[in-house]
Amino acid sequence: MDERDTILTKSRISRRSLLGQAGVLLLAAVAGPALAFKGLAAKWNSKMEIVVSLTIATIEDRRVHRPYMAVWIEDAQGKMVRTLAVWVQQTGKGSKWYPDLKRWYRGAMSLKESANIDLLTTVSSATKSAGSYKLIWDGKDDKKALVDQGKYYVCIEAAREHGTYQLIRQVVTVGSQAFSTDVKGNVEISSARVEYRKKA
Amino acid sequence: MFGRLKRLVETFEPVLGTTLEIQFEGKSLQKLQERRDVALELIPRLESIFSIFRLDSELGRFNNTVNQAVQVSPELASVLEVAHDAWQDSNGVFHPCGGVLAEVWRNGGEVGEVLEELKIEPFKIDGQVATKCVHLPINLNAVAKGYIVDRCLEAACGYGELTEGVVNIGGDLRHLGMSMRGVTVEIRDPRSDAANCEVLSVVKVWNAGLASSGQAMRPVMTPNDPVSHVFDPRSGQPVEHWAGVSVISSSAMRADVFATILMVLSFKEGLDLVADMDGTEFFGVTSGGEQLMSPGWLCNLR
Repeated sequence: MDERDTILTKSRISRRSLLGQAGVLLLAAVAGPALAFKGLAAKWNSKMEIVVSLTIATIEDRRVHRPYMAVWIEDAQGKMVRTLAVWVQQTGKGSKWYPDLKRWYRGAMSLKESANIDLLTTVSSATKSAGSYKLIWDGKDDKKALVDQGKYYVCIEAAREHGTYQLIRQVVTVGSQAFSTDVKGNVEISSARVEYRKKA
Repeated sequence: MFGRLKRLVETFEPVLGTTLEIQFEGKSLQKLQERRDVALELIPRLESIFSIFRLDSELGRFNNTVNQAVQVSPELASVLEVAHDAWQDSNGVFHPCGGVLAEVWRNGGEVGEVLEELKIEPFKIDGQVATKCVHLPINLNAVAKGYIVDRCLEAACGYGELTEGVVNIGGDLRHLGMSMRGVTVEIRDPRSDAANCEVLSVVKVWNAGLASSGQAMRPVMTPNDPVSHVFDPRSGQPVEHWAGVSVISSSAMRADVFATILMVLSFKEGLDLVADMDGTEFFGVTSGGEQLMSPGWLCNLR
């Protein structure tokens, strides 16, 4: 990433974080009275789950780098609840690739992996098709405790070296009713869908 | 020992219809990038040999011949030889023409006629001269992906610029390295198609290959119900007892072949098969969710 890129990204970020803070303030104002009843809020129905399906934009017949990506859940206040997936790449020596996923990086509690001297953990499962990913949220937070029903944000962040930075924040209201929402894509994530359903 | 090592971790798609992940470590980032390019350049060439989707692939052209001695490339010859050995040594549990069964089931046809042809030696291979003996198409996917993983990593490591390397194409992977660390591999639940599904086993792969075969991703849609995409070439029937099997062996290609064979065999038969093979171990999840493994798998646990 060259100097110019960094400056551009920084300016984009500061604007975003300002907007983000404004949003959080606004939400806090709305959510304020409801917080008083927090103890009464119904727990997530453990028979239900959220499925996030997304398709990465690819160019036909061309092999491309997968963007750095993070998919996670935030509560109504924008606080990170659960990380579903982080896909990073590494060029060079440090942990430069994590900060590129700016919003996720800021919210993530632990950066243990970036200090790891071993090769990164890799994954084996039956072969899946390129470009399409499915992620499941079982209603538990990063400490494995079931969360309350209510309003959450499904966040999909994608960054590409010498490319663009994209953030999707789709609000969902988790109650007793199943639902399915198509999410508008962007240049990195061509389409996405959030489904709240009975566990498969 | 090497000063500060540089690392290159990259993911590409689509590669062979799935995802390619590389992890290279060495002294110079520039050299790592050069080795990556060497490895990546191999893929289209190898794909043009083995692809069953491309009629103009070398395999596609070979498939158009019957009872005719054909001069083939060294790459096709090596993979044909491995496939032939696997067919012979497994008494037909591994069959390079077995893919036709999915086609028959998909169309709701009878397997009887195909079964007769599956009993014949599919092809002969002598050096670089191959002769196809059946009318059925040969599909080398169960060997070729592992072969491509091995070739890419060997090409990347070829000039000693890598101290350690991993190539992973859609879950078939190989590690080569000078350190004792190896690479940690998470085996995901084969019953789920979610990318963040439960990790069932975590193993260390060191100078070896690992491959997984499973049911969740690709059921065969028949006119009646979807069935497993794994078929026993001896009976022509879909095999449902394993949800998935993962195998560690000396190379990605060997792991790939064994994963295909073990999906068809029962647990007991699988144990017998790997018992006298050094360094070949497996972990399987039955359709009912039971986790079973060969004793040596435990030695690789992280």
